[in-house]
Amino acid sequence: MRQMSRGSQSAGASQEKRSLVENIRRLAAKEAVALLIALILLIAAFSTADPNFATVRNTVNIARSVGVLGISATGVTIGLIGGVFDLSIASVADLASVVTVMAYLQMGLSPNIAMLMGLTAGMGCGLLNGIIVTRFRINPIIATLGTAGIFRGMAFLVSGGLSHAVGSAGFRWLGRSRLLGIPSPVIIMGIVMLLGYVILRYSRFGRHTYAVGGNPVASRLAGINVDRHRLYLFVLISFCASLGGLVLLSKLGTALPNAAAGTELDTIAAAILGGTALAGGGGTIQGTLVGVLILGTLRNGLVINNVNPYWQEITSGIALIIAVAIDRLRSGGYR
Amino acid sequence: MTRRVRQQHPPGRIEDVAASYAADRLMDEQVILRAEHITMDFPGVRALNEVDFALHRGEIHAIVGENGAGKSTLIKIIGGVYRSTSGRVVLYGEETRIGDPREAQILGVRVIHQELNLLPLLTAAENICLGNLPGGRIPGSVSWRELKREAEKILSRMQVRLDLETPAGRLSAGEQQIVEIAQALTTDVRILIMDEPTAALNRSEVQKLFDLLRGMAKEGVGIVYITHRISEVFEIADRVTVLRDGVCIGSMLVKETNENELIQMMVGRTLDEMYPRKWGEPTEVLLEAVNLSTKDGLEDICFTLRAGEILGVYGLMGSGRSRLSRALFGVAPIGGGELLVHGQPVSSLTPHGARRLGLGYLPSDRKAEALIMPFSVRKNLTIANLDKYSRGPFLADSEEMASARDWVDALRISTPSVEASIASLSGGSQQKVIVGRWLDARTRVLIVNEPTRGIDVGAKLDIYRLLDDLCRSGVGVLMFSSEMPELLAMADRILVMSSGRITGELAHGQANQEILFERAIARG
Repeated sequence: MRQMSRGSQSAGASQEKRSLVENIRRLAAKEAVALLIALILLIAAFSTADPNFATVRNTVNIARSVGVLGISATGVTIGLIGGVFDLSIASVADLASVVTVMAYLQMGLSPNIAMLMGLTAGMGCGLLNGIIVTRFRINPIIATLGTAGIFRGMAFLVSGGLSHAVGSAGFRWLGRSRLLGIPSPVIIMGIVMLLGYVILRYSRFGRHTYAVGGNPVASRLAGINVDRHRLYLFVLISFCASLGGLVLLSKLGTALPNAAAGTELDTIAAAILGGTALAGGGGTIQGTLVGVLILGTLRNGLVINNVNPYWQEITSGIALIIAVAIDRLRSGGYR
Repeated sequence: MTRRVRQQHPPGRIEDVAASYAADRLMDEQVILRAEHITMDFPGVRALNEVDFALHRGEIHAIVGENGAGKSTLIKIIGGVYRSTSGRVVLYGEETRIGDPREAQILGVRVIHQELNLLPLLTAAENICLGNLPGGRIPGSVSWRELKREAEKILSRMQVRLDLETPAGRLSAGEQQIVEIAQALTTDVRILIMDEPTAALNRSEVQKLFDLLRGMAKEGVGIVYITHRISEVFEIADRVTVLRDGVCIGSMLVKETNENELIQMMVGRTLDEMYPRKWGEPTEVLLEAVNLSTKDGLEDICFTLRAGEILGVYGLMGSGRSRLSRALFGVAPIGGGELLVHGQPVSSLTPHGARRLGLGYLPSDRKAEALIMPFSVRKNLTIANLDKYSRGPFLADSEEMASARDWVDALRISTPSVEASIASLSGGSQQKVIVGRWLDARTRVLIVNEPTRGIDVGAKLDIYRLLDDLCRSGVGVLMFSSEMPELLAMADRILVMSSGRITGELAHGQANQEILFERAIARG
C-alpha cells in the first residue's frame, strides 16, 4: 500500500542539497559513536601535548573533578527529557551547602543531619520552581532565571555574605574520602547515574517523563497528569543539584554562597553534548556521562597544559554552542 | 534557468509579460498552463506519478481527490514551493522552471494555500498589501495612505466589506480567507490556484467567492480550484481532473460527467464497498448528556450513546463540535448540566479520570495531540495503560512487547516491527495505533474526531471496518466529523450542531446531505 503522509516537506525541496549537511546529520544521529570518537580524540590530543596527561593519577583526577558535574547533570538530563529547563541549579547547590553549614554551626546539629536539612532546603527550592511553572503558567526558563536570583540572594542572606569553613571530620566522607581506592565523588556520581538510568529505562516514571517531554498535549490526553509530573521533575533536578552542592562543600571544606556560580553552563552543556534534546523527549544517562567526561577532560587538559585559566570559560561557552549546534542538526535547525 | 526568468520578467504589469510571448508560441487553443508527466518523490513515498494537467485561458478547472491524492503537492510544484522530481511545467507555451513563489508571482501565478498564511498581528490592510507595500516619499518608507487605498480598491472589486484596521488574527475564518484572496489580487494574476477555499466559509461567503471567480474567469484568468466537495465542482467548474493516490485518473468537461462517476473515480470503489457497516441493535446506555453547557458557548446538549452504535455529530466550523468533544473527555470544563457515564453522574472530569471511566479520545490533529513522535509504535500503543504492564514502579518489557505485537496483528498495522519509530508509519497506520492505544486501555466509549483526516483511500476502509468491528464488540462510538458522506454511511444516528446547540437528530435512513446542511446553518 502506498504510504502517503510521512516524511517532512523540506526533504523534497532540498533533495539537491543532500550532500554535506545530510551526511553530517546522519553522523550526528549516531550520537554514541560520534561522542566517543570526540572523547578519544580529545584524550589523544592532550596526551601528545603533555605526557603527564595520560597517567592513572591524572585519570583519577579527572574523575574526581567531574563528580559534582555528573551528579547535577543527571538531574538536568532527566528534567530536559521531560521538557523541563532549570537555570537555578547553581543557586540551589549553593543554598543547600550554605543551609547545611549554618545548621551545623548555629543549630549544633550533627553533620549528617545538617546535610539532610540542606538537601531538604534544596528540594524545597525545586518545589517552588515547580509551583511557579505549573500554577502560574510561567515559562520555565524565565521562572528559573528569576528563582536563580532569589535562591542566590537567600544563600547570601543565610551566610551573611561570608564563607564558613567546617573542619569537622563528619563532613569529609562525602567528597574527600575513598572507598576501595575510588574517590567518593566518583562513587556518588556512579550511584546517582545508575539510579537515574534505572528510573529512565525501567520505571513508569521514566516512561512518563519521555512522554511528557515528547508531546505534553498527547500525554495529557492519554491520561497522564502532566503538571504533577513536571513538579516531580523540578524537585528531582533540585535534589541532584543540592547533592552536588554538598559534595562540593565536602571537597572544599568551606561553604561559599557562590561556590557553584556559573556552573550551570557546564551542567547543561554536558547534558546536551551527551545527546539530550533541548526540545525534550530524548536523551540518556550514558550520553550525559560521555558529555561529562568530555567536558572534564577538556578542562583538565587545559590545566595540565598550563593554559591561562580564563580560557576555561571561553572553552565552556564554545562547548555549549557546539553541543547545541549538534542538537539542532539532529532536530532540524533554528528556523 | 531561474536567473533567466528574473531577467526576462522584471516586476511589472503582467499583460506585458504575457504579450512578450509570441502569440504563435501558444499551443493548443489557449492552454496557458500545462503540467507534463509530473512525478514527485519524497523519501519513501511517490506523491505524484506522471501526472498531466492542462489549464485553459478563462476556465475554472477543478482538481478533486481524496486526502493524500496529491492535489496540494501538484499545485505546490506549479507555485514554486516544491521542485518536481521529473516532468515539466509549461507556462504560456514556454517551459518554465519556477524556482520560488516570488518567481511564480512575477509570472502571474498566485496560489492560495489551504493553510492560511496571514500574519495575525498585522492589520487586514497590511496583510493584503504584504509583499507589495506602496512606497512613500522618503525612500524606504511606507505610504500608509496609499496602502489603505490599495486595500480598499481590491475589496471593492471583490464586492466585500471588511474592517481593514483589525488585526488579521482576530478576523473570522471567512474574513481571513477573503484577505488571502485579496492579497493574491494585488499583483496581476493570470493563473489563480485555490486549495480548498471554502472550508471556512458560510453559504453567502461561498456565493460571493463564486461570483468573484466567475468574473475573473471572464477576464481571461485561468483558475485552478482544488476541493474534495463534489457539489462545488458542479456549481462552479468548467472542467474537472481527478487524482487518486498520486495518479491522474481522468480529466473531462464537467457537463460530461456526474457526481457518482466522479466519486467512483476519486475513490476507486463503489459506494457500498467504501463504507462497511453491519447494522446491529444497540444495547445498554453508555453515555448520557443532560442539558450540558460550558462556559465557552455550548448550551442544552442532550443525547444518549448506546453500546454497539455510532453516533455521528455534524456541524460546520464554529458549531461547537470540537468544543463538545473536548468537554466530553474532560479537556475543557463542563459548566452546567449532567454527564452520566454508565449511569453514574460525573463531576469535574479530567482526561485522566475520563480514561479511568472507560472513555477514549482520538483528536483531529494526530501529530500534535495524539502521537508522541520520538516514541516507537510499541510505546505509543501502551502509553495510556502502563499500569497494566507495571510491577510496582517498574515496567515489564516482555509483557509490553507481547501486547504491542498482538495489537499490531489484530489491527493489521503496517510496520516492520513494534520498535519502529511512529514517524515512519503512514497516516492510516498511525491512526490505527491511536485506536489501539485506547483499545488497550479497555475503552468502552470512543470519542473520535475526523477519523479519516489525512488518510489515503485504502486505509480509510480499514478505519471504517475497525470502527464497525468495535461497535459489534460492544463499544459505543461518538464520531465527530465534517465529512457528510462518512457520517451518512456509518452512523446509526446523526446529531447536527449549530452555534453551540444541537439543532437536529436524524436516524440513518432519514438523513441526507440537504437536511444535514439545513440543520447545520439553522439558528438553534
